[in-house]
Amino acid sequence: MSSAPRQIARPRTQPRRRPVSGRPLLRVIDGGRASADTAKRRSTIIFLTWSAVAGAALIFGIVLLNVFVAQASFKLDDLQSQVEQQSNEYRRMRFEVARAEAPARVAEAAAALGLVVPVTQEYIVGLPMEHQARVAEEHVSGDQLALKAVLDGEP
Amino acid sequence: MSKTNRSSFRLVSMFVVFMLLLVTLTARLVFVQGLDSRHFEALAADQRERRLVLAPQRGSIYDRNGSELAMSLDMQTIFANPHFISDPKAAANALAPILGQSAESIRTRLTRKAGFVYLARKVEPSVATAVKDLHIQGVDTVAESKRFYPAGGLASHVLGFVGTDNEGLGGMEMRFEKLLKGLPGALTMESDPTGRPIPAGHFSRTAPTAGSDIILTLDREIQYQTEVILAQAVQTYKAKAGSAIVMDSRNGDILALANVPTFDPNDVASSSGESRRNRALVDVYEPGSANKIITASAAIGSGVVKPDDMFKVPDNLRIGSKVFHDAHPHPVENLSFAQIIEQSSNIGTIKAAGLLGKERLYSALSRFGYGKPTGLDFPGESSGILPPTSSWSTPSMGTIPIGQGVAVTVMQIVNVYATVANHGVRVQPRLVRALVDENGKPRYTPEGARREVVKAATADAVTKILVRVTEGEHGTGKAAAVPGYQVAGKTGTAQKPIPGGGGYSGYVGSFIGFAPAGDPALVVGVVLDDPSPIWGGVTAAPTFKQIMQFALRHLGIGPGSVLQNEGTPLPTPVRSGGAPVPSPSTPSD
Repeated sequence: MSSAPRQIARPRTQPRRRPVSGRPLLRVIDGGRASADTAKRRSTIIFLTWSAVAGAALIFGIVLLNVFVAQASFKLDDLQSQVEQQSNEYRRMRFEVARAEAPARVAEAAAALGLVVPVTQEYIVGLPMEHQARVAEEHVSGDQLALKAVLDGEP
Repeated sequence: MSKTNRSSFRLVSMFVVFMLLLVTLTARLVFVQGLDSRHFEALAADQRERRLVLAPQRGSIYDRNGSELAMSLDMQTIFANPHFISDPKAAANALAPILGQSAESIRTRLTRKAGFVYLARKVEPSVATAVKDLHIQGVDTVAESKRFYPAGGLASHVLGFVGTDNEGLGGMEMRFEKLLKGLPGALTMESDPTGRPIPAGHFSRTAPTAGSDIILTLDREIQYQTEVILAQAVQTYKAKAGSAIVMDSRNGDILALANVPTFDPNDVASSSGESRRNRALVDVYEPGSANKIITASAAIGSGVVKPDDMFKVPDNLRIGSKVFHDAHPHPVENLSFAQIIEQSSNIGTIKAAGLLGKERLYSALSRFGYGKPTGLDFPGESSGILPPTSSWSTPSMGTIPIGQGVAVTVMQIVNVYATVANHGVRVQPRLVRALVDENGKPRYTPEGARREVVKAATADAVTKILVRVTEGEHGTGKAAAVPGYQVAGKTGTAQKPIPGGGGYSGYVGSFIGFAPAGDPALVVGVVLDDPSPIWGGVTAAPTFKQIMQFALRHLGIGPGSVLQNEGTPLPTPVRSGGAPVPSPSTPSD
């Protein structure tokens, strides 16, 4: 249902005043609400943009970290595998040495070279000190005794 | 119903249906994610997670000087998944020459309805590389540990052997299975459906704990020479079998333990049960005259006899229902107790034992270790047989003093002589010198427990008597004398009981002795089963001499102090000539 438009009174405006002492006349520019809104929008956009960038960077960083961790774990696996291989190689060498040193093999090689186990054996047994001295004196000549006395510092 | 009402009804109905669906889904979600989450989590983990067992490295076994006697190496096992073999025939033909198997047998396995079949176990890495180079889909390799004995059959009866899965089945491999095998580790990781690991997934690794290493008391060189000399003796004297032990009497260390027949633990499949038996520890035999050392020790120790006490010794003696004889006929002789042992007179020994009495004789046999394990704790080791005095008959005082009617292992009789050599103190024998953990830290086993069996004066008196066996004019063991050394010992020629009873058949020849007599260090025991000739003094004694000579030289043991035999000279008995022939029913030297 339509009706006649209402008459709205025109706002009363202040008469223009003359500026005092030559200062420029200041007038209020009614843009507060609009500029605040714009500023707010701008800061929001800036915030969101930075947030997005930070978020992307964070996600990228996490992904990169995961990549490094994965790389490191592969490298660790690889190194462990190398360690095991080297350990096995070391054990294999020790086995070869033990096999080469086996008495049966040594005896066979010795026999091939014409060596035999000695049948008789002689013993050199250490003599007590006083016995050594007496034996030495019995077998030493006069000149040697004199030399020994000089070397010993006896008159 | 108006059109508007119908529309509203449909809207509400749809709304209710969707709400119901939503509620159902939500409820299900809560149930799956919340209430029953563990179950589904486990199912998912089970699908993704793979758990691999990491086999530990089996410990090695060394001789006393650190030479490897047993060790494990990683070999390669070749397996196949028949489901992925597209052309079994072609694959078998390609694999056959590399694996050294027939193409037919390989093809049979490749066509089995199974997800896993072995093609070859524990082969050289070069063989595995050749298989991998064929790039046959469905065929792969995995590392598996294999046991090796680098010295071949050396000390095989002590070391024992392992089965296909590296479990100890005999000897020290079995005795120390728990220590040698170590603890398995585990590798848990998440993998995709094709089996590839997910790098960022859950990953955990528990490293396996390697088995402990064992250092034996055996000396590799002495062990080898003992085996060679024993094998030669068994062949020369046409014996059925033989055993020899070399022991350090001062601390109980067993330096060598050999048996013939023997086997190679690298090839157990081609050996027999007979050859794998450790006769020196598992088999018992009646020691014969070698047992007279205990009769002598008991008689001298209890004061009933002195070494130069005189006895009238005929060549036969009746005890109860049995008549006992000396090794050869002779007139009645006046012999000192020392001469009785020197000449191994059965009748003289029986007479001395009669003064001792059965209780004191039994007590001496028991104190010297008869009827009890030696403490080595070796798998299958026998305790020997010592019947209680309640079961002794009258003739038992004729048989037991001369070493018949009781049974011992070679280890037990060697330990008896070691006790006398050690001035009457029994030292428990040992085979293990040290255990080494996975960090290389050794844990030395303590020397065997010591216990006085006879007084030192008694042991020394018996030692002097035993020296006469190898040095006396009528000693039965002169072939055991080692040039430059004083050797104390005793021969033995014992009848063998027929298994199951019913008498005796065959003989066991033995010589057990120690040197240097003045400062004993080594004890050697040699036992030959059914040698020809039968006499221990002719067969086992020279074998003893060779082993003892090598061992003394190898260890740098000098002649040491010489024992002086006291006592006035005694008349030399007149003997009848001819080769001694034992009576079939009489235990002889």
